Amino acid sequence: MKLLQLWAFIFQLFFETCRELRYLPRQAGRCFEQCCIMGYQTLPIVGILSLFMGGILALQTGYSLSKLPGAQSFLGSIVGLSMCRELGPLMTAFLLTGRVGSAITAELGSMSVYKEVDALRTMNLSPVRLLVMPRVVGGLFMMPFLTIFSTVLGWLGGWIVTQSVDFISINGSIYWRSLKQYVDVESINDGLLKAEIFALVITLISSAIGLQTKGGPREIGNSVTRTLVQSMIAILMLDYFVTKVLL
Amino acid sequence: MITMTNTKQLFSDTLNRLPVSIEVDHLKKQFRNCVVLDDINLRVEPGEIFVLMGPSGSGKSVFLDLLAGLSKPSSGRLSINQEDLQYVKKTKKYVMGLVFQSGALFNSMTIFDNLALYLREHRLFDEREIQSRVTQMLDMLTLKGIAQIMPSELSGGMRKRVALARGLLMEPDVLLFDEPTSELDPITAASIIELIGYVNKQLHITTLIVSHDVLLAQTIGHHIALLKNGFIREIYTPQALQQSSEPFVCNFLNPTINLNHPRFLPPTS
Repeated sequence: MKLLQLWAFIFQLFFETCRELRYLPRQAGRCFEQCCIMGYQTLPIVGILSLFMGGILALQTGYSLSKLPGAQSFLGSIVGLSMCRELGPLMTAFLLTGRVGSAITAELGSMSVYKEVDALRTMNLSPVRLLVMPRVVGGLFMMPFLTIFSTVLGWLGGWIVTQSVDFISINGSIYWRSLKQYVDVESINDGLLKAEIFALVITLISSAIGLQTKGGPREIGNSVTRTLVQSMIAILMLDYFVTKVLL
Repeated sequence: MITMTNTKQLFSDTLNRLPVSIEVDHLKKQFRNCVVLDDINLRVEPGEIFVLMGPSGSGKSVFLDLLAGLSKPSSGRLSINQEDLQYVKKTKKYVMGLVFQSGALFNSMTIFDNLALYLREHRLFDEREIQSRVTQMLDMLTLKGIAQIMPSELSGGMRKRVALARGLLMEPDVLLFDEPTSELDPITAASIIELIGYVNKQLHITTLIVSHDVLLAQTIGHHIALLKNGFIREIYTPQALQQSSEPFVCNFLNPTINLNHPRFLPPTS
């Protein structure tokens, strides 16, 4: 029942956010602030994780392919496609949930608990316009950049592994040639489309749970946990269906 | 404590308007099976200070939330100048300033931005005029020099004054206060009472205060209602309240302390 109420509220928030988009020019400052916060919070961790993710992928795949003569020349395409179609958007979405989603819920939750949201309402100011819309727009704007950054660093991680591990017997140029041969614009666009859907879902879920928080500091903690769980479930479920549609 | 040198300029809109009345008819609020407010009827006269008193948990804050439009009544009618509150909220015809118990200042903004938010978002004035109004308001409430600090750096009394300043800058038709003197020392509480009384005297804004502070009610309240178990029995003037012989009123105003038989313990046989 609680879950249904939450999702009903998320959909309501989505439509209200769309309606409030007409105030976007007036809220540009707040949107820019959210973009900076999201980029600043997420970029370093996305970089580190993606680099290692690409490296691990190349290491595992390279080891398996080393048993098949000549198969290692496909390593670039495997790492390239995996990163841009799946792991780049997915990893970035998980990190955005952990770093930004939890922060949104904590901030809006604390504003709800300490009556700041009610104060906005009594001033005839829409909490969706001032608090939710800038975060959704910030997420939608930053997510493609973060995803591209993650994808490129993942590719780079794969290349570093090919250059430094003995059992992978391909040189850098073969790795990049194979990658360029199979990764096309369509694959990158599919990844970016997923990333945008994830960003929308994360910002809406975290805002909705934050605004629904009632009680005290303990409830704020519970709300943050709820955001992480709900967002990750939603991301993985959506990922499956979107992938199925796109393939 | 406060200087009203620029009152006419700062509150030109308020001074040019007639004060409004608040009417409450058969108001009921219940959460599931629990009736919090039952058949509340009252009228707040234009420009007066009405104090709603009652023990903790009697439904005072719920009443204030209903009046501020933060929740909807289960039944009954709330109106301003005989116009239904839902209609008033929708058309934004009357402005209501609510001063929360905690102040509810926006913790991520400076005091200046807190005060300027309403004026900026509703685009009431240009940035220079907003700057001037906020500075004047801070000067008026002897809050000079705090414009650029964050709310977390303020004392309880200052937070309440900033919250009042934020409410006044809206030039409201109705001012609502939720426990304005709670969590304050007696001297700071007295200064807040003086401030509310003075503002009302100068600007004639219809004011409704929810409190259990007897001193506040008797010094600045024009009418006082006592809420018990979600029900208002009678509405008093400060003199009538003092002279009341009703046991609940007497006990509320002058509670007896019995250390041998605390009232929340079961009676000993």
